[in-house]
Amino acid sequence: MATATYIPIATQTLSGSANAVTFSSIPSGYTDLKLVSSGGSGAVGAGLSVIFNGDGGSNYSDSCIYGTGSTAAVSSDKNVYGVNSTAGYVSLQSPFLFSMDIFSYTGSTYKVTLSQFADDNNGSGKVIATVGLWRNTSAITSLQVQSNGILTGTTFTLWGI
Amino acid sequence: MPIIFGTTASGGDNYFRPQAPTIGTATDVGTSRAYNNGAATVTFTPATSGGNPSTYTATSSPGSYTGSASSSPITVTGLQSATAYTYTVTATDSEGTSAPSSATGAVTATTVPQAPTIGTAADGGTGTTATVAFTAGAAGGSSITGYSVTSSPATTTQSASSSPYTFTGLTAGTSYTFQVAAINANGTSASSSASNSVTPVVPSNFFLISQTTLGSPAASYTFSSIPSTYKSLQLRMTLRDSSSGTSTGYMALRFNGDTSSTYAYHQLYNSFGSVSENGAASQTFIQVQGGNMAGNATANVFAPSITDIVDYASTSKYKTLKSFAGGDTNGGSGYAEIGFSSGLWQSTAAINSITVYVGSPSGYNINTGSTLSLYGVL
Repeated sequence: MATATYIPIATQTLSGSANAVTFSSIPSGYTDLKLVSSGGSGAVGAGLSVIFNGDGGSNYSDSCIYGTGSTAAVSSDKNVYGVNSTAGYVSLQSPFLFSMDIFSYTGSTYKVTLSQFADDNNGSGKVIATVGLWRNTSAITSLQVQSNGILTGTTFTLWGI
Repeated sequence: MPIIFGTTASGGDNYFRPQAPTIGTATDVGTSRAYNNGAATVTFTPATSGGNPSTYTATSSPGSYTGSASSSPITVTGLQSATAYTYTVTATDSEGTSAPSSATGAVTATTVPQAPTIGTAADGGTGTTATVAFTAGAAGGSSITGYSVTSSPATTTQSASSSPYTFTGLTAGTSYTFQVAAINANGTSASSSASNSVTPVVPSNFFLISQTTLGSPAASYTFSSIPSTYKSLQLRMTLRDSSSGTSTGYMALRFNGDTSSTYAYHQLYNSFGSVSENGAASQTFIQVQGGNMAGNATANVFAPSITDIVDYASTSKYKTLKSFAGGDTNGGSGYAEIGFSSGLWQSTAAINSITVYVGSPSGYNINTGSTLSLYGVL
C-alpha cells in the first residue's frame, strides 16, 4: 500500500468572534497543505486574506474568477498584503465554505495557492476561485487567516498532504 | 571453693546450651513481595528450660534462607517465588545453639508476578490508539489476574487482560512508548522495559502513489503502472515550461499512451482580465487551462493544479476528470490565470498510465523544479 496522507494537523473552532486565526509551528513532513474552513462572518465585504510566516509586506498577489448568481467576473491584485481569497467579499453572517491548497510549502520556490470560497444567503452569495502567490522562498511555518469579525463557531482545519 | 555442676540441654556436654524450640506453623507473606524475594513467618514456642536464648533462627529447606528474631514469629525473606519450603527453628544463647526443631509443613512462597517481556507496539490505525504486544512472565505462585499498561508520555494507566492490548486515548502525531506490568493477588510486578516508539496516525483514504520533482527538463512525464485499487485518482502538480513566454498557460494529459482523437475538454477561466470559456471535441489530449507557468515568467513561480479522475479503473465507463488550476506572477490581469476544466477520454479501458505535458504534447519541455504527485483515493 502506498503512503497514507491527507492528515489533519490542527483544528481551531472559534469560541468568540475573531479578526485573525493563526496556525503556527506547522510541521514540515508533507508536500502540500490544505486549509478548510466553514463558518460565517460578522461583517459585510470583510473578505478572507491569508498571510504566511507573519509577512506583513506587500509580497502577495492573487487572481480570481467568481460568480454572483447573475454575473461572472474576474479580479486581480498585485503587490498586496496577503492572498485575498474572496475578492473582498463575504456576505453578512451567511454560512461560508472556504478551502485553500498551499503547494510545496517547504520548497525553495515562491509559494502558490489555489482556493475556493462559497457562501449563500438564500438569494445572495458568491462562488470564487482564486490563485495566489507569496513571493518568498522560505518554508511556510505559520499562516494566518485575517478577516473582520469571523463568527463564533467557525472552524478552521489545517491538513497535511 | 564449691563446685557447681550444670545440666546439659540435651544430654550432651554443653552446659546451658538451649533446648530446641517447639515448631509452630509457617505462613506465606506474599503481599507486595517482589518477584523471587518472597517471605514467610514462622512461629515457635521456646523451650521452658535449658538456658536463656537471646536469638531464634528459622531456616528454610530448600535454600537455607534464614531469618532471626528474639521471639516468635520469625520472618524469613529472599524466598524464590512459587517454591515450597519447610522451616526449622534453632535457639541460640551465649553458650551455643540448640538442635533444630522439627520442620513445619511445606508452604509455597508467593510474590508479585515476574515483569512481562515487552513486544512490539504498533499504530492502531485510528489516530488515537496503539496496539501493545507483550509476553507474560512467571506468575509468582499466584495466578495473574491482569496487566497494567502505561504510556510515555503519560496518559492514563489502562488495564489489559491479555496480549495484544489496544491502548486508547492517544494523540495523533505524538510519539509514545509503552510498558506493561502484571498483577496478581499480591500486587503489581515491576514494569517491562519500554517498547519501541509508535506515533498514531489518523486514518486516511488518500495515498501517495508516486511523486517526482524534475531535476532536468523533460518533454513529458508519465505515471505508469498505476494500481487499480483506488476509486479515484488525484494529480497535484506545480508546473513550469521552457518557453520564452511570461504568462500562465495550459497543461495537457493523455491516458494509456492513447494519441487518437478520443479526448474532449471544456474550460471556464480568467484570461487577460475577463471571463473566458472554451471547449473542444475529438482532441488528441485533454487541455487544462491555467496549469502551466511560462518559462520567462517571474522566477521561482510554478503553476499549481489539482486534477481529479474518477472511476479510473472502470472497464465500462468513459473516463472523466475535473481540474482546478491557476498561475499568478504578480503581474495582475494578463499574467495570471485561474480556471476550472472538465475532461473526457472516450475509452472504457482502465487507466494505467497518465502522461503530463506542458502546452500541447508537441509543445515545450517541463522545466526543472516542477513537482508532479499522483494520489489514490479509496
